[in-house]
Amino acid sequence: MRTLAETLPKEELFHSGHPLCPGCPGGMMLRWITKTLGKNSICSMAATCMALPAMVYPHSLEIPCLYIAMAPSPAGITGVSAAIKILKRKGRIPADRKISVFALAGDGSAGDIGMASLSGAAERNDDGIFFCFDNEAYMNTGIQRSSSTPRFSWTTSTIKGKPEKKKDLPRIMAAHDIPYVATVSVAYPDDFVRKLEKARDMEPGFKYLHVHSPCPTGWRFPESKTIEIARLAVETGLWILYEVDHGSLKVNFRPEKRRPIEDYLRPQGRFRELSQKDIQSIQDRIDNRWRDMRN
Amino acid sequence: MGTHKMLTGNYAAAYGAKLARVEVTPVYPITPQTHIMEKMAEFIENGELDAEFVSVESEHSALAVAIAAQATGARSFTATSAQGLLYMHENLFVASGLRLPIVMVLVNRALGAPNSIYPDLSDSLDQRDTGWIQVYVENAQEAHDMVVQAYRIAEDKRVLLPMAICFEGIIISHYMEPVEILDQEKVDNFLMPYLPEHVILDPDRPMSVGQIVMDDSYYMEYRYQQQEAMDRAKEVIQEVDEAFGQSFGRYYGGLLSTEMMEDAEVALLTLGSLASTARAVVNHLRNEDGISIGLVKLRMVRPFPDQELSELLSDTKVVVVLERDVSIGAGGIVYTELCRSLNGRNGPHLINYILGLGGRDVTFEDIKDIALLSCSERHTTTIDNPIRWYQVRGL
Amino acid sequence: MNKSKALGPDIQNLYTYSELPIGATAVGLPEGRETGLWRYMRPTIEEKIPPCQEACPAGNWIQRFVDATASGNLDEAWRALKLENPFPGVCGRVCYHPCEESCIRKEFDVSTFIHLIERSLADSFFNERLTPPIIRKKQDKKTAVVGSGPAGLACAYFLRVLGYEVTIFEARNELGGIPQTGIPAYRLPKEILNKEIGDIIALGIEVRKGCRIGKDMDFSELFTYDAIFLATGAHQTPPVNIPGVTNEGVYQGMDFLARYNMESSIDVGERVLVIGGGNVAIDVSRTLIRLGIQPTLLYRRTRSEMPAHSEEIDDALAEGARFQYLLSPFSIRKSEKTGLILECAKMKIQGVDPDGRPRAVPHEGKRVSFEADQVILAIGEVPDFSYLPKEIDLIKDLLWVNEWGQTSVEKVFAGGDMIDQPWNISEAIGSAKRAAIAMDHFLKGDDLQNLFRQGALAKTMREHLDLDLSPEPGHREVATFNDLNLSYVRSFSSQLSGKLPTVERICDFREVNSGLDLDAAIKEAGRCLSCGVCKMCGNCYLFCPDGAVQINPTTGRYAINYQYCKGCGICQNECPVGAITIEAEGAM
Ligand SMILES: Cc1cc2nc3c(=O)[nH]c(=O)nc-3n(C[C@H](O)[C@H](O)[C@H](O)COP(=O)(O)OP(=O)(O)OC[C@H]3O[C@@H](n4cnc5c(N)ncnc54)[C@H](O)[C@@H]3O)c2cc1C
Ligand SMILES: Cc1ncc(C[n+]2csc(CCOP(=O)(O)OP(=O)(O)O)c2C)c(N)n1
Ligand code: SF4
Ligand code: SF4
Repeated sequence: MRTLAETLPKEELFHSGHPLCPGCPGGMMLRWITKTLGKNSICSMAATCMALPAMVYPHSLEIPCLYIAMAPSPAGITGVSAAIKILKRKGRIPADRKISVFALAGDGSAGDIGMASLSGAAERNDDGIFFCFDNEAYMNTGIQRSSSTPRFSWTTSTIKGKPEKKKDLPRIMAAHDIPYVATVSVAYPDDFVRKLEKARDMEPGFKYLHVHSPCPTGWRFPESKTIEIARLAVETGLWILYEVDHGSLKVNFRPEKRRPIEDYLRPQGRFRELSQKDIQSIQDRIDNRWRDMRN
Repeated sequence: MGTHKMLTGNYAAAYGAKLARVEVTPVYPITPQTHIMEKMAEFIENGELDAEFVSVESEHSALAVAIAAQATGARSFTATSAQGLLYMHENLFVASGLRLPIVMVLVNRALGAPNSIYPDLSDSLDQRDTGWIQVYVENAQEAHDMVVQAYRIAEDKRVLLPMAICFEGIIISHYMEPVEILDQEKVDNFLMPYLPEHVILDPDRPMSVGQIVMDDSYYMEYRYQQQEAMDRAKEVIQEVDEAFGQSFGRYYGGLLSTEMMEDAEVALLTLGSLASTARAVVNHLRNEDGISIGLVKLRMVRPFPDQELSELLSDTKVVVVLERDVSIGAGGIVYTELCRSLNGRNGPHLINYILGLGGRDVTFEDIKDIALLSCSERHTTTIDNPIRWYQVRGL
Repeated sequence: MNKSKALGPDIQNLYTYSELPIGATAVGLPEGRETGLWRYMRPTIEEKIPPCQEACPAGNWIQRFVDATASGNLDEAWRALKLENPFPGVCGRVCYHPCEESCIRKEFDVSTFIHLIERSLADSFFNERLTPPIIRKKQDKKTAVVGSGPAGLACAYFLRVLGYEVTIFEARNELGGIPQTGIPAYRLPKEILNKEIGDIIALGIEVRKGCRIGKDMDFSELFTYDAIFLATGAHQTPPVNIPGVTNEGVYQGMDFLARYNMESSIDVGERVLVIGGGNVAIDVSRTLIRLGIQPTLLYRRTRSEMPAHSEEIDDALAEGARFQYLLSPFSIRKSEKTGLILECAKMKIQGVDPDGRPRAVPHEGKRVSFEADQVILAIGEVPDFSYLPKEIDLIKDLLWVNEWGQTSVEKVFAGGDMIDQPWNISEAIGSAKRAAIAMDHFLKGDDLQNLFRQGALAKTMREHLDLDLSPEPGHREVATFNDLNLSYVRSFSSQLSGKLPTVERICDFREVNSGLDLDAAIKEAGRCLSCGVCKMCGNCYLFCPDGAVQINPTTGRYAINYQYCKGCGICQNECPVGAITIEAEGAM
């Protein structure tokens, strides 16, 4: 069997020499996305760390990229795909040309400021793939809490730990009854690319990929451990890899034996202050979640 | 020859957009603009217009969709009013900064609080710093014609700026007038399809649209480019008005139009529907009373006709600015703009009347009173209290 | 490296506003920032030696053939195997596989069954001629090999591969040495051995059977050859200090096996005693069982000290051999009535021998006697050096050779059981290979001493012939458990091979261990962790956030572009096999 490294196109459309932090999960994600979607795509970018390599000169993204503002990256999908549709009808873009439209947004823009735009584009089932780069805080502005920040996590705006729970955005998106919703993780590139290919090759419509993206800078762990932390999130059962394909839910990976959540929490500075009780409460939540996912 | 119809201002504008063969129309409902949205939806649904209608979830997204579509190479059109416009505010700068010739109809409405669906031009005048070309029209016909003209102005390679056509809600948007709907074939000759070269999201020409400039690199230069484009827009506006007149027989004067200004000692300067009333007053006072009075109908607020106004008004004694808007703490917005234009020169006295806010009726008599009062002030050396709120109850 | 194409104006070098593209766009795609300057840790792709390969005395290219097997590329597997070892069928069966002892997978679940994969590959190519993957063009030099055991045949094979003419001199009329004469067929079927011998000879090797050097031909005649390899093994019974060993009915173990194996007939009585605890003793016992006799094995220490391979002891016990421990032969008497009487001293364990094994000492002079029809002594052999000229030095009871197998006479090399190394087949093959490589250099006139000092003397054919493309071979460390990232290991149980049921085994000499069929072998190969050796999984390439790991088009291997590598260390952390090291930038 050929490995993903062999099957993915060799050409890098997301170039080296970009300004993301060392060990940034976004770097790999952008490489996989551009390799999978190829040159024939257009990106709508939100205000996120990911905008830096795409929008700051010299650019690292060799595909057309539009930055409007922080909130409306989903509306970018709408506008671009609407334009492509009419221009194809009018023959200004060849009708048989397949152009993948996608948007990239952080959890803060997807789940907070851009939530209405996201929900709107999803409800209209506009044609494109939306990536939520979930690094669980506003990283680009220096690690502030977002609705996607997990409970108990330190950020610069929750110095004693965030009291509230993490918003479950993929489930909200699934409730929009769009063709495809999937959770992915940077530690599982095969799963990531398979799902992305599925989204790419599906009939026109809104597809949502939620990328669990451990950020060494914001989560306070050594930059060599990005993948390790991402993998632990999955192995502990905290981050469930699943997809909702036309309404039907499938869990893609069920750890044989879930590792204790402590394995995931301990290496991260943002959870340094957690008490045993806090840890237990997270563990209970995970156990309950899996009980729901039993089918 | 076009066909004649009784149309509201909103419908007239929608017909204009249809004739301009707009391609993507993202709109969000708000009174008094909603009829435009409805009419566009109807045109597209009926197959009268081949375009994508996008029923967005907010005005912020409406403009974002228009930006994205325009950046992809499609002619975009949207419309809004008041709160909706302010909700777009962030993206107004984006559209102009990206140099996307989007055209938008702004149906002026008062801004809450207190809430009112009646007109106040403050909503769009407020946005004069966003880099959009702004034209204020006085009736449904002009609205119709200007939508078509706007695309030709905005898309001109010397310009490449978004453009707003502004008119008062209810008064223009909702009242029917006879309108000549332009002939499609002639419009097609007048307005070429949008084929952008400067900004285009095309996989064959990958570019970053809306780049982040770090440090001191080129932010000022990009801004200056916009200023220069706005300056060039003046000549393009004149040219397009000329061309439009030749094709369709109606000339609007470009940046501004005048009525009996040749030897006028007193000038009424106004914009929007007030211009119609003021024109009647000027005609009346000239013809009946022989008063040396003229009218300046300001059409473009951006680019502001600084040069043109200061030349036009150099021999005038009194200029009365009648406007349905206010910048609280400063006076009428057009008045303050005019002060800037005339820039301390030993020119005419300037008097500012703030009136008709929230749609309060401004009648022929009202303007006539103001005009006569102003004539009486033409020989005074100083004007007391130049900024005047007109007919505020109890004032 | 990846973007030299500037698609638009380089806005960084523009000066005036009018030169800027319109609309806050930029199309320039020049070289990115040199983010390599950020780096304070430096990763290096630096393969390590898999411990199994380090442990394999024969120098097998284990990782390569196992990996190729796992990916179903059997030809490739076979080529890697053949390059280093002409006896995969033999070794896959009777080598004691120290490789599996050192297998790191053991620490995760169970060692990979390397020998079974090797065997399965050999068996699946049974009907094909074994040609080595490479044969160098003919060299104008002639070589002689004395003895056709595993060492002699292997050396002949490698010399042929290196292009030399080879003549083998063998005292017996059969080639193969002990695997032919000593190892019973139930462990090593003759057709397997003979097929592999046949393949070697078919490379164009001249064979002189029935020619015992020192008897049928004088050693001095060998000096007409340009180089000589000696591998005459250890076949001589040392003097035994037991009264009565010359009695009729007392055999030497090796002789017993040779007679049975070569002539398939031997007279045995009902009551047979076997003395010794090594492989010979066990093989004798199990041969007897197959002849319908239940032997008793007497050993001077206890089970745990028996030098025989534990699996074989178990097999012998299962097959019905009786073991008696702590007994040392004292005398053998002939008795009219009962045949032979073996008297043994009872022993006890006390202290340790100089070699570290527990020492057996007589237990207060206690004795026991056994009646027997036959007594078979299996207590070791020594090499016979009587045919060697005296210029060839000995050391103690063995032939002296240096690190690369050269004797005190320049053109004479030696290997196998004659020299000081563990006596088994894979050691024999390994010593033969080292000698063949040294002979190649010698015949080319290279300075061996110098090469050795520079570490340029290869121990394997892949290094010698420069076929190992891994970066920087030669200066490598052996991979350890901690080098690996076990997150990528799928836990699946090892493939089980079977044994014949005991009742069936003891009737004849059918092979006992059944090995794996090819599908099972492919699965088993999939358990290999590829310790220290990049197997192109692509993790470094996929996970590098900076696209700094790319395939080098000339080598086809991954390489790091230090112009952009920020030194995050993810590639090192996520390399499953530990082929990447990281150290502080600037550290040597
Ligand atoms: C019973 C038994 C079982 C064994 N089982 C195993 C096992 O399972 N696994 C394992 O790895 N090892 C086993 N061994 C050890 C292994 O067989 C030897 O280590 C190996 O055969 C040594 O190889 P060699 O080539 O050095 O010598 P040998 O195999 O002994 O070959 C030497 C050859 O030289 C010939 N010869 C001798 N003198 C002369 C001369 N003067 N002129 C010409 N030819 C001569 C001999 O006839 C013989 O053919 C076993 C040994 C024995 C005795
Ligand atoms: C309307 C608006 N408000 C605030 C900002 C400032 N801002 C830029 S990036 C950012 C944080 C983005 O966080 P997130 O979406 O989680 O993406 P990340 O940077 O973590 O990838 C914020 C708040 C903005 N650009 N626009
Ligand atoms: S802050 Fe986090 S998400 Fe942002 S560039 Fe750095 S590592 Fe990546
Ligand atoms: S993953 Fe890439 S950037 Fe990080 S150390 Fe390895 S080569 Fe360098």
